[in-house]
Amino acid sequence: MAFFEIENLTKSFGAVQVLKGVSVSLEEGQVLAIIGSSGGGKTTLMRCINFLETPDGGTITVDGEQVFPAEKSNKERGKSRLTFGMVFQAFHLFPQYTALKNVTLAMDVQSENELRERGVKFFARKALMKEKRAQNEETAKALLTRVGLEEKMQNYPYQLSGGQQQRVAIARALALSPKILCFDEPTSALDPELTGEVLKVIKDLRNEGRTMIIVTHEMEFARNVADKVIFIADGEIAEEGTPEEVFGNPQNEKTKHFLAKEEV
Amino acid sequence: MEHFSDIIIELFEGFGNTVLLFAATLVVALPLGLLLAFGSMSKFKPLKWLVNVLVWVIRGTPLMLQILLVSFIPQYVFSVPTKQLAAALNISINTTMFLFVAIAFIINYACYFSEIYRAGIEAIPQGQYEAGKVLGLTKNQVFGKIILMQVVRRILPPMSNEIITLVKDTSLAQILGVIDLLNAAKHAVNHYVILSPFLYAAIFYLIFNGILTLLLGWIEKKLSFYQV
Ligand SMILES: Nc1ncnc2c1ncn2[C@@H]1O[C@H](COP(=O)(O)OP(=O)(O)O)[C@@H](O)[C@H]1O
Ligand SMILES: [Mg+2]
Repeated sequence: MAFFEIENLTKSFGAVQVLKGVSVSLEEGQVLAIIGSSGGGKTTLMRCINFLETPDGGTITVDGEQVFPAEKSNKERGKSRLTFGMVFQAFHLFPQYTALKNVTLAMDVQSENELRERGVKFFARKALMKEKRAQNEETAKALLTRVGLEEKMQNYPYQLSGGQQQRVAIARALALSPKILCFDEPTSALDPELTGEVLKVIKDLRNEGRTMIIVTHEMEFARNVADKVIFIADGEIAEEGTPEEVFGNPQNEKTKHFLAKEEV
Repeated sequence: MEHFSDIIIELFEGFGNTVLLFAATLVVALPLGLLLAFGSMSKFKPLKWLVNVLVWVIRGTPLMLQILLVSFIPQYVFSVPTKQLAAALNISINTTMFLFVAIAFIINYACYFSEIYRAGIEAIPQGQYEAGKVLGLTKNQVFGKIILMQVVRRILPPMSNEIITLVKDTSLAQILGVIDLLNAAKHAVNHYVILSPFLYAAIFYLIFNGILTLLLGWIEKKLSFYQV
């Protein structure tokens, strides 16, 4: 069984079936690129993977463990490590927190949850949290440095460019070391001159061996970075293969049509 | 000016009740309003419906009517005269009347506050909730650590308006004979047959509201360290 596996995932909104049985698998350390024209169901698929939508049917398995429908409750699973991290098209940074605090927030919450579950009482917990916070801050600083923002840690999101905000969002998503990092059109909300810095960060992550799923309209990028590409149209996978296969020798008429449009 | 110090002392006594009513209303209505706001956004339809009707009725009728209604309920609905109620609670009639007023104020202001909270909460983009959720935060953690602060910042200006209005509304307490600032001034005007107590009362209100305006403005400024 592959590291990440989706079997026959379906999702409808009212009478409209948006995902019509999607199955895809991915090995650890590989990158999956999802392409397709607008309205095809890419975002819905990502949202289902990240539990922002509940699929109507199908299964999602990660690292041998079925996460949907869940075998264990989230609590039992122990959230020391998140299964998925998510980077949104519109960043969704927390405006009232600095870049650094955006990254540490989930780690701090997580640290406190762990202490609580170990039965540490309120005051003892608060005392221990001081040290944990300092540790988390070091981790966050390292992450922000890795995305090239060591100068901007104390800035608020409104003081950052779109590209910088998206890089903070990537650091934030990495904070709890998710097994799989998901991106939904991470550069679509950016001015063209700012997409490069974000794509470079994603490329670096790929070279570090991160398992990633990326919805993108950047065909050149998908071609360079992905181990596997799927083309989604009308809620179905119309084409699947290596970048060479999908971009170089598409079989499906819809794929051909889509790629021809993207070339120009 | 011969009675000046007497008048000022009487006004201060009235002002004490005014501040007490103001503070009691805020302390209870602020959290209660948030609960009502959650109720009005509840997925449980009957609760949502009930809260919306309550808020609509309270906002659509005069506060004075609500005060009178509250004061008549023990006698007319439960056949317990106010005197008996006061004796049972072991408090004076005056305190009982103050309680009636406070209850009406709390319900009335909780309803107004709930609408402000609701507008504030609904203005927070869905993405903020989703970003919290994908980081593994629970619903309560998302609200407490991400949403609340943004809501507070958004609602502070309309809240401030409502709080200033509350200061002036406290003068309605005199409908049940509570000696608030304005009632004390009225008594002094009648007693000493001069108009100046009204002027002094006005100055009291202005100073009180002036301090509140400064305080609320300061908090607003403190919360403006970020932009959306
Ligand atoms: N919450 C929703 N309610 C109803 N319809 C939705 C909802 N989300 C998406 N859709 C519909 O599902 C289809 C797929 O949308 P989406 O997953 O966003 O596609 P893509 O990301 O590929 O552009 C679209 O027709 C869209 O209108
Ligand atoms: Mg989309």
